[in-house]
Amino acid sequence: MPLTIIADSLELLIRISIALIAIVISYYLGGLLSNYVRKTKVRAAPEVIYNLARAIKLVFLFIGFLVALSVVGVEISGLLIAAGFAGIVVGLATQQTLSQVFAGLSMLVEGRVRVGDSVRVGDDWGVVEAVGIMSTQIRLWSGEVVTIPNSDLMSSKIYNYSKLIARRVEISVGISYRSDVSRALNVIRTLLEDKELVLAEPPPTLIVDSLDEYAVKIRILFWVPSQEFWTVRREILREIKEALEANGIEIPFPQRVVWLQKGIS
Amino acid sequence: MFEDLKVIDEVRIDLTSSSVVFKRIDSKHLKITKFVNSLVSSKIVNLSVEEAVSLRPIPPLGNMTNVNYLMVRFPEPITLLPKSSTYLNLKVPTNLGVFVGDTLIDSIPLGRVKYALYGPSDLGDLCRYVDEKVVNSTPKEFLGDMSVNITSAYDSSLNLSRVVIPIEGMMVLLLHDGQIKFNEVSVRCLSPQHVEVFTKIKTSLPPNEVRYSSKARESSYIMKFGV
Repeated sequence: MPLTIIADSLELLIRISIALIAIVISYYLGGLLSNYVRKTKVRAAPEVIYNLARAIKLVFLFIGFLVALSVVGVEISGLLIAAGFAGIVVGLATQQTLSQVFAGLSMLVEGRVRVGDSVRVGDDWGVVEAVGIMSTQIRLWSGEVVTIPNSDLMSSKIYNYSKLIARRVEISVGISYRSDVSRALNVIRTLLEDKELVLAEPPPTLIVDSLDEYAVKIRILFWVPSQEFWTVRREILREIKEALEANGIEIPFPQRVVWLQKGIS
Repeated sequence: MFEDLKVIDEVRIDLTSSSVVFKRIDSKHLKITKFVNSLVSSKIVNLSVEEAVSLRPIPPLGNMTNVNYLMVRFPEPITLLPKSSTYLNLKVPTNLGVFVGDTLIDSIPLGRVKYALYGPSDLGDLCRYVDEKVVNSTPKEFLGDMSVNITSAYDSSLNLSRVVIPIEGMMVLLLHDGQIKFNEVSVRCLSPQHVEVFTKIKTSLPPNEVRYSSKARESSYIMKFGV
């Protein structure tokens, strides 16, 4: 009797050891393959590779656990059925989390945003720092990092400026009613034509947009390489002011003409 | 202008809208400063006194932004009759390439630089742009001759007003008499939304006439956003 117990205990000990070895091997193999995927030079976004590597590691570990359980003597088929039921229950309980996971997977496959993209989501402007399975991190221009759940991101309007090769700049300038509008248009057009980074095609468009209370509004539309958007916009605004002033074209302040009638008692 | 320079002290080369200064820092280092449209940039190259800097004409690359294509707008649109072909001779500006051996270390535009977007803003291509205004503002000695062979396989007449050429397929040939030529460009119009542009690196010029030719490889581009 004691011999049987010892033999059984020994067998269990061996099985547990084999199970542990199976887990260690699967963990090691998963890590190895995951590292290989991370280091492989493939034409895929870094976030896709990162998440794929993580998934490989988890799948290997899961397989290792299943092997370990079967070695120890646990009936896996029953466990899988139980896991299926448990999955339904857990799925219902963690509906929101799962929706985020699926949103994350969908975003990774679709490639709506990638690490390094310059984006605007609602009021948040910045650069995408990480795209995970559950959430996406954006570093705002002010330096803060905002984490947005992927399900929220999927239902939001995402403006991805990195996908653009060129962007249109829109500037509005008012000139006084005393100034020559045609001359002002010529001055601005010449300025735009001389700037290297203002695209020749599509050509710049100048429109006399409205006759306001105190100024004739000119709308200036032109295209620039997207990465130079802010630099060119800033420079052109300054140069338009200087060029108009140099040509005697007045940019007026808001003003009202008040008539005073004499002789009213 | 297009020569080999051994810089011992300082050499300044003034171009129309730009200039470049080569200044010896020590026996092993050379400073290259370029002034283009009031923008100044400089770099230091490890180049000994015995080694020369070569100045060569190269295709019109981007200056303030990188581009892979050149868009040439014709002075007048060309109407191609169905199943016909024609030749066109164009003037195209070049850049000044600064080489150490065979390595291009800097590029300086030799005329006015403009860019254009071909296609939509997300799917299109940014191109260096050449039109009549750009050609007229570039000194004649820096303009190269390019012949464009256009054939139409389209069933109706077709108006062609511009062509987009891959820059990597453009070869610049500097002749002994100072003339600059480009390799031939072939344009095959299948429809207004499908125009194929090819560059050939073979040239009909006799080798003894060519002083220098830039490196290029046969390339193609499909203009699918209109002509």
